[in-house]
Amino acid sequence: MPLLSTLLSQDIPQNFYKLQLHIYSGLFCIGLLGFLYLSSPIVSRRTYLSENALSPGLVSNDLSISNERIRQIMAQLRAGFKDKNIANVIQSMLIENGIEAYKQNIGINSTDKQEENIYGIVRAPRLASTESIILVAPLYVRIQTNTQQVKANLFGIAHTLATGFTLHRKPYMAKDIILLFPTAQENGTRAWLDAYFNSKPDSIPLDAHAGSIQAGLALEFPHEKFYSIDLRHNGINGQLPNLDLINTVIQLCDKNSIAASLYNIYVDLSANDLGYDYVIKSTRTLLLNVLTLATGISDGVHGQFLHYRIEMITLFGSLEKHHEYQNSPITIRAFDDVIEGFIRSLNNLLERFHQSFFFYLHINRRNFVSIATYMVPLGLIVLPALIRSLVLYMSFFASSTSTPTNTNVTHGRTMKFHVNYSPIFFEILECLALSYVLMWIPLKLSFLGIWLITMFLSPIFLCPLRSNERQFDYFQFILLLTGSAILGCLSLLNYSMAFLVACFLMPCYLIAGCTKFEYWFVKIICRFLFITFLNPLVFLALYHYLTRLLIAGTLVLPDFVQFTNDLETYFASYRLFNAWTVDVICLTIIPLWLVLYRSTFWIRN
Amino acid sequence: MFDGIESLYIGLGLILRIFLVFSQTRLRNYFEQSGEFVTPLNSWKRVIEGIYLRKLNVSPFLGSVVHETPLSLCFYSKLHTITNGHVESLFIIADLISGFLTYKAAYYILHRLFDQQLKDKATYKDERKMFLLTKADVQKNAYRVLLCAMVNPLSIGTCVAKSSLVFHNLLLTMTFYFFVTYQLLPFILTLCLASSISLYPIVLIVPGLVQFSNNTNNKRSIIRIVFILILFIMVNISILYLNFYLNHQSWSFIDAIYSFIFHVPDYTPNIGIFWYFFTEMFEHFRSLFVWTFQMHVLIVYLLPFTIRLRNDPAFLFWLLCAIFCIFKSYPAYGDVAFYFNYLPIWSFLFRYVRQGLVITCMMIVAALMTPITWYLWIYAGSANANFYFAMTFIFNIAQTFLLSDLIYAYLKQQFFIKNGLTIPRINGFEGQLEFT
Repeated sequence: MPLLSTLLSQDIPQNFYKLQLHIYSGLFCIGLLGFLYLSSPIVSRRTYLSENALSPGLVSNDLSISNERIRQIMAQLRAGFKDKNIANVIQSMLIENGIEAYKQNIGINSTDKQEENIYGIVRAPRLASTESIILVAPLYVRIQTNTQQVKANLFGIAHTLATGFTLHRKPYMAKDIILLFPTAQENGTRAWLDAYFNSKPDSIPLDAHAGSIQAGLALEFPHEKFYSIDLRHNGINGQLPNLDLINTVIQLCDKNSIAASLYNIYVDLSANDLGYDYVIKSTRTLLLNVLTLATGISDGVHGQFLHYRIEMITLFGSLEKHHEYQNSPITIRAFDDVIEGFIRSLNNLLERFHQSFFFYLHINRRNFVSIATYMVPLGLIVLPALIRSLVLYMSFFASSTSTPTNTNVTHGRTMKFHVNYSPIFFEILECLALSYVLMWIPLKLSFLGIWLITMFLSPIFLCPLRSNERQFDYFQFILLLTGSAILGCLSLLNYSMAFLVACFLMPCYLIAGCTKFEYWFVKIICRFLFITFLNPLVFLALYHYLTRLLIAGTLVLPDFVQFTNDLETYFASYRLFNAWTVDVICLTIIPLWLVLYRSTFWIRN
Repeated sequence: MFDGIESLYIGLGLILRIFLVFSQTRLRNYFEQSGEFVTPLNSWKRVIEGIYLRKLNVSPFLGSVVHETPLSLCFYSKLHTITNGHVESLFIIADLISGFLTYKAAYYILHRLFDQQLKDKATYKDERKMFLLTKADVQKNAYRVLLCAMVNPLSIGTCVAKSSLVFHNLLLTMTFYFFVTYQLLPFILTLCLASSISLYPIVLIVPGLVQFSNNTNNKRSIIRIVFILILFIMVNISILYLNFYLNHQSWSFIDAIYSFIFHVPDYTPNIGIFWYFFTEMFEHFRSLFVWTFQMHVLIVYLLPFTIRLRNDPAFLFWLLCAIFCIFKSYPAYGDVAFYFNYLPIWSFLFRYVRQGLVITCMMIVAALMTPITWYLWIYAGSANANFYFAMTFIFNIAQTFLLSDLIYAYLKQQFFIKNGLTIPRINGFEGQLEFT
């Protein structure tokens, strides 16, 4: 190790300082474009089945459920729903067919009625209940067009029951099948899971258990007819099920020529050359994937299962026709094959799902980008923050002074200025304290508005940072490092959220950095930008609008009422989902944003 | 008793600890279960188990649950009965005392450095005066040490997790304190106790020999060295026999403690390098690598560092502590906290540290990412052991960088003091000396 090596590398070239702004904004834009480029067929990979034991669709079909049988079950269920004793109806049907069935009381709902989960266990004849598969059919499901409204899941329940009845006593079953009919969607599911795994101290243990649950399927069919199946796989907090599981279902659907869509977008892959339609639809899928995962809540009951490490997706019976000349709904026979194939594949499984990918983004049902690829755009977006912090850091130190007699006097790596830490510390503390209020107030749009205005006014009633230019640089250096660290952590936990947060924070950093220019109007413009475009609520509204645009696929007008409604629903329900999105935003992102906003008010002394 | 700043800092530490221990149950549970803070060697749960087994007259060392010495188990069971099971406050007190002793030790070290400088001042040229510590610096750096010990999240976490490392660290801090204040007998006693618990502090006898072997006219005397060695061995043997009698005349604790530390049979993930390496390795190479790894901790650095740093035993002591805290078989964040808290003493070396930014960033990233990768591995199931190990590995690399950089800085500073600060310019740049 050279003992006399200089402690500083050479100074940053002056040209770089001139080009700084261009480089940062350039990298940011390249990152954004790079993200969109992910949907191109060159970058994305084709899906494949990594777990050989699954081999979907190879078993010859063995179950034959007649239409008559399904209709008969549906008639019984319909009567049950009408008389409001659906729980008893399902239980007695299960017991009649020789399947053990239990009820779980989960308390009283808003209309003063007892809510009960029903579940049955089809015991496997080959093995002693060591492993199991779960089929979930919520009693009521949200309908496609309006997420507030619920409808009885007649077809889903009927089909789950019929599958259970026919698989009962099949000699090849090596895994138990749990048939679960949760009431009150996520709420009921969560109560059942908490009781099953005994994870809450106050939950009453269930009457019966099956083997450890490997994987499963949730069936949501609000309509008795459906023309395509929508696969829903978003878990809570950005968790995703193993890609093999989704591929199994897609493979089976394709085999039975059922159109399987993601986010209601079906990409026709049969065409020889990938045209304009492919690109648009793939980009829409990709963006919707990111935008919906970022919320941290799931789009079906499967999210709760993923939380307990049970791989699961939801099949939703959609009314949209994706095949060109399709007039008739999907036959029960075809759908049967999918369910049977799925269960038989899982039945073959020797280990838990571990092969394939857990971190991926879908482009369409047959193409995806893995974590190695999609991290690159995020890296490019965050790179300016890292470069800038390095540039700042290098400008802090001096190592030696020249003397006239051709020698240098070394001081080691000394800072060119003295840093006074206390104002920086108190500034950050103030911002943290101010944003922690968000954690405790009941979140409503009106409260958010009031709180935002308080934040915007905070530089007036709380004294803003006073420092000299060097110290301001140091302050920014700390903020840049904190921001990059937070984004780095988030990117592993919930990539989509990290991506959106990066898109929001990086311009904030840029504008906060611009306040170093002396002109007063620059500062005014910066503050104005913070209040308008970089306002979290505005960003949220834009995000909401973008999601709606993408879901609709055509131009829709911004709808403020729907935005408020959706926001209220989200705030009311996110706790139910076990999601931490709001906590993370309140504890890390908002304070950071507030510090950046307040730093536009810094006073030179 | 305490002056203003001391009481302010200690009060701050006390409030933080009380707040976290008594009001944040979820956080406390997290700390008590996290592998980064609690290892089999220092988990309080295991100590409780040991206390009950002792009460039931069952040997606590059967099975692989308890890894505390009979003496410390006896001590903990006394604490447990005195406080009726509510030991949290004792942990806080022990942590604060060790923080304060750290501060006192730091103050002595800095004072000694200052005195040394006063003595050598005559030989310095003018331009080197900028190195000199001032009286204010001594106090300021000592205060920094105290502040660091009080708010260091790693020490607080160890205290909240109720890791018995708090008491081990207290013992080690006492050793260091007696070391810098030239109290031979207490030093030997605490050192032997500390090494009887966790084995590795045994190497600290070497800086002890360097420190205490000087006789009145500043020459090393062989007689003193032999005397200290004999004393050390005697005390060690008597502690071993005390443990033997406390354990109902059975040597079973040797297997449960020293063999457990040395042979590393427990692969519970922690922040060290042992567990991953030994899970990945073929079983028949095991003993070779056990010996290699343990030699690496205990012996490899001992002689070169002792020879090079013989004139600064305090730095040597700290460096050896840091080395075994990094490379020991079951390290926890508490070990890291132990040597971290002394860092501000050597803040005058920081100007020669070359990778300050890299080290800081690596440490922060690793500390933030470790729980995340753990969550992804154990709870979400979407990552695996490699992710977690990568993060702990980064943490270890950062620590080794820190140590090597500090040694480099120390040597560089010594060089400058001896040779002056002017460096000739060659081709317009500072001249460099490289070994090629």
